[in-house]
Amino acid sequence: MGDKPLWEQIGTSFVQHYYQLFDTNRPQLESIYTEESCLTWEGEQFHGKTAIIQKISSLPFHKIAHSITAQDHQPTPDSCILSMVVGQLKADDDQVLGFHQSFLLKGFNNAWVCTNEVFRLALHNV
Amino acid sequence: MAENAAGFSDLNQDKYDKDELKIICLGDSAVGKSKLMERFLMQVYHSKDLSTYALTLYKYPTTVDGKTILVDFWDTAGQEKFQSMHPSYYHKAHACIMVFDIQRKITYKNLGNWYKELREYRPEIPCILVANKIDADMKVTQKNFSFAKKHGLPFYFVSAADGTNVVKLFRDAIKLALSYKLNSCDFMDEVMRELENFDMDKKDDYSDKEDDSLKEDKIKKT
Repeated sequence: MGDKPLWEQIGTSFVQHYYQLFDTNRPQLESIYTEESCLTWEGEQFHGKTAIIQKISSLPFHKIAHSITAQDHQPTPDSCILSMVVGQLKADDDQVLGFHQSFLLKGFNNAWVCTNEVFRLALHNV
Repeated sequence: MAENAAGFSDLNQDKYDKDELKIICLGDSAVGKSKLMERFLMQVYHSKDLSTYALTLYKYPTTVDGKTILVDFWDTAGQEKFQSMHPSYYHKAHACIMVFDIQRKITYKNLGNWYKELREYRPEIPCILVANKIDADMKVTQKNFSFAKKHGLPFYFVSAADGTNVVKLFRDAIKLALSYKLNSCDFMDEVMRELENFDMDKKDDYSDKEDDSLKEDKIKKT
């Protein structure tokens, strides 16, 4: 861990934290968003902590598990961190589906918040 | 050839304007949609797994009234929990099999949502309502389920586990799909007549009020 750049350490910790909460207690994700945060979920846009948590909490499955295949992190010129995750998920007893998810993280009052987030299932039957 | 190998030709839906039939399956997850299909197709069956496309497409060649037809049964992969169902799922479907689980009343309650979405995309196609898992509680067949009546849907009690009514369900679905395609309602009428006669043996009324409950203690003996 020590020889990894800081943005990579922060990005990796964030990703771990995010999916841990998502898989166990979705409403608790509230702490990572602000009133300015944006989420695009399967093409649908949500703005602000309340709308985002409402969307994420109301997804109609009882249990979900994520498995991260790969993650990449970059520093941006304005000191944010851009993260992209590729993985697989399993909701209830359904078959495993692939997904992609991206985050933009920003340092804010000594903590990191997610200002932008985009989620897509990896489906190709368009 | 290469196209076939990659499965892309299956996703070209123009064929449904020609000879082939498309029948879709709707209902909450774990009501037994895939199990029903597998049960029916067990006999002949070859399945094509398109899991990376988030749907499974079962191809079923059959004969109706001396004519050979290729039927594609479409099943979802659970993506409906993340997004509203993709319009291409409904596109050009000729019939729909809508399934609920008699052991979980929420799956009966949710039929309204499924039916609404189906009718947004396919206002006219025949839709069959299916109560699955009757092997778990045969007494449930003594009830009337008002959803079917309210929307004028043919209604079947089936069990994917022991096979009860499964073949009949799919044979009728195929005939309904074909008659829809050929623009005639004759077979629909026939099925409805047949099912009405079925109702002649006395059943307790499964009123709207009781829609909420599939609990055994609500079953009154006649």
